[in-house]
Amino acid sequence: MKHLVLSLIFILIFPFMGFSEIKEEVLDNGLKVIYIEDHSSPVATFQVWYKVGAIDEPEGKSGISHLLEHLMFRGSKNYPGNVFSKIVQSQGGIDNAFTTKDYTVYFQKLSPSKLQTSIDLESDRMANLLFNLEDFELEKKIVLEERRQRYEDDPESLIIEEVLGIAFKQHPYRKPVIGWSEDIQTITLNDIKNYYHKYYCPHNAFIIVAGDIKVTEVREKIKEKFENISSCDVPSRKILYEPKQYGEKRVILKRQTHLPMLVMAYKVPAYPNRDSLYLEVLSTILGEGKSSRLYRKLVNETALAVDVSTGNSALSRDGFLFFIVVSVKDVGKINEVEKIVKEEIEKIKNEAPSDIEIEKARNQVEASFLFSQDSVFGHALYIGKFEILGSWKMIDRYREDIMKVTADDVQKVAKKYFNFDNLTVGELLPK
Amino acid sequence: MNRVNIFFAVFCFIVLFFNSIAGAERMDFKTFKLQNGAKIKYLYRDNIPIVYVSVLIPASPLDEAKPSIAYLTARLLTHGTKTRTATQIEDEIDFLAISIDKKVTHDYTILTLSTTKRHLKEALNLFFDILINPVFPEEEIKKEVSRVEKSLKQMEQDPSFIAHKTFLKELFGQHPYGRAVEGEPEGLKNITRQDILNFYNKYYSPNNMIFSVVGYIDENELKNLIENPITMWHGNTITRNINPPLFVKRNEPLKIFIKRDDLTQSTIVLGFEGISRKDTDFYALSIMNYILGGGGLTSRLAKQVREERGLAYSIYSTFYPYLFPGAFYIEVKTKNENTQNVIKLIMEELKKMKEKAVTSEEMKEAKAFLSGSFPLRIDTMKKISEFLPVIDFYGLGDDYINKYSEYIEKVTMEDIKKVARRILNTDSYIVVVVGKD
Repeated sequence: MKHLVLSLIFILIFPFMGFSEIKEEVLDNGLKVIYIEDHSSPVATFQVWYKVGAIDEPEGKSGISHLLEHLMFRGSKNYPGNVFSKIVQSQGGIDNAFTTKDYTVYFQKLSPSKLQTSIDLESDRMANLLFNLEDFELEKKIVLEERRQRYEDDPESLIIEEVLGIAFKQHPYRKPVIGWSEDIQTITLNDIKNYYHKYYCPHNAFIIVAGDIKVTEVREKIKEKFENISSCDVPSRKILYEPKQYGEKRVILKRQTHLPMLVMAYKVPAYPNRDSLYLEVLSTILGEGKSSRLYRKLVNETALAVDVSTGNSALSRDGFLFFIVVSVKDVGKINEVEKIVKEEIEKIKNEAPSDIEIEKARNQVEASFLFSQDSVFGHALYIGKFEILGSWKMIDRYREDIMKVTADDVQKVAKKYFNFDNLTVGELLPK
Repeated sequence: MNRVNIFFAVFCFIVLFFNSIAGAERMDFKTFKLQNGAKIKYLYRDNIPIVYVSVLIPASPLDEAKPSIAYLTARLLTHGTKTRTATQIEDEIDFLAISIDKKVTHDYTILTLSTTKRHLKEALNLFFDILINPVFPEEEIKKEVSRVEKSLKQMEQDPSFIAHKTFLKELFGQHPYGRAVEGEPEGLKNITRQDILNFYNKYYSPNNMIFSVVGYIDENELKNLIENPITMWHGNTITRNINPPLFVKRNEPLKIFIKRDDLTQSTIVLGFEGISRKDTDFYALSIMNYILGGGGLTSRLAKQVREERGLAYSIYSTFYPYLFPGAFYIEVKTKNENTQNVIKLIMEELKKMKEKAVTSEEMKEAKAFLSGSFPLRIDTMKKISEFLPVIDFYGLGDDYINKYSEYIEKVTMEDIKKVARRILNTDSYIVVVVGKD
């Protein structure tokens, strides 16, 4: 009964656990601005999110979102040349950007008194990016070096790329965010221009400004620079689908490596599909932490593995993959490891997880939500991920719902998704 | 839910490559000195119901009789106490959703407990138990040694790791700064439980420990839940018997090539002897390094190699100011055929830095960045919790956070030139290349 009482308390208190004030408004041109006031540290972050990533890329143009991200640092009408980072750093700030399968984010971390710098730079490159051919060719070379560094010479990333490539036969999630070399090489400056004009516009973006800010002050500054950027149509998006999978898929990669790696990936839905929440809890039970079932079995009891982890991607724009990744000690034991993982999955299918395991998962959800607010930047990222799915306000429902997940729910999704016909396996073996 | 990081690394592509960030915030933390010598740095923050507790233990590879001991001792603290088995500890950590991070550097060991306010008591109870009562079970040592051995062998496949390992070995010889804190796979077999017990008994004493407590915890709770268990813990007085590295004098550069046919890129590490944290040139070197290769995409090296020629995705310079002088080096990865060209470009920049003064614009920007971005280095409670003991350990003074900008501002153009000439060893540097040819 104690567990039940605890759960009830949780459900009552959890929705009120946001410790900073969040406000939003939509400018006349369709650009949404989200303000997070948090005065705990004398810092601020300014983030511009574009709803475009690998999922939106046309055939033959994989990596175009990421390449455009690089070009965004090569100058705009009022700030020509390679000056963005220089300007930000000379104000004591840090800037960077990242591209994912679902979105692209540009950000600065700086003193709240310097936010005007972010506003000036980001508004100018949203409206007036320069497309210099020489810079474009240089950035292509840099991205190809990045690809060599992160993929071609890194077997652990390469096996993930290969698993994605066969897990999906049609869906754009099969493409790596960085792109395939051949595609990167053949993307033209014109392709980039068209892509920028289609996706980098107020209706397809939002701003998050967070930290030690005064909303009234920063709001006027943002409006002044961003509200007159021409509005645009919301880009039309293809309806994406993935044809049914028949049979288990497998890819074996042989590379110079000491530890073999086993990657198992099951196709799963994304939030707001409720199954995604149950899968989050299942991930905690299976592979997060040293008390998780797989860690205990493979690292402690059998000592066949050095490490195990699981990852669900509930906050994706479309259904993605539930990963189980094991670093195996001995190449001769990789099949045994796979067998044990499958046995553990069968166990959950046959017997629902214990109350303690469910309560542990809830504690971890609560804690990770609280810890994520320790960082102004991290908190803003967390909010942004929900906005990408439709609205940051979904966060409250997400938290409420995940606290209500039951052992039966977890068992149900294990049965539904962890099947032979829904699995892709990757093996990284020493050459 | 908190394991997404490894996936983040794979699915996320960052345009820049930032190596080091380094200005000022008023932070009114308190320092308590306990009777047994332990210190507590305390900062109350009530905006989120979470608490961080860190403890810096002055014990590191510098104190080791055998490599890996400092690392293994820290790792094994959570593998069994007088009243808890390893499994019970793991269960408790996960159930309470707390974490106990253990970091061993070349100079010290630091542990950090992260907990929600709701689980504070249970979390502290566990934290002090693993710190005061570890038993290092034989069986757990065996498992951990095997895990570390496998991980090290895996790391030895990584071209960056190989390049660093080789470079540090040549620079420091047998000195502990010349090896990874984890040690070397070959040495692990010789480690006994007694080695670990000896290390723990000798160095894990409250007398020299620096604690910090940041978050939602008032002074009464601090006294009852933290000060009391520390005060009741009696330890020995320790004096560290540690030695500085001896640098070999060379008359010419040392060039080492390690062949790896499977690689498309060469990893290049080029460097030399740096400075200690107490060195008066620390601030001048911070600025010089920022201009040379520490300043992300705006540094001279990034401009030359990446931004203007597209020869690399990542290039940076960095230095490790330890208790004794650490290394100063540049690391870059480039397509195999560009290796010599990139080394030539690096050498040109090093020479230029020694021969010509930096421009006043460069100086202004570097100072503005280093001072201005200082608050970003401590922009979370967790970062503050881990930063406060380190300030104390290196003797930087409780006013360090407020004075950092002043120290940076004092540096002159002449100081930069002087430190460039002193440190940038263009005559007898060490360069390691790991690649195809």
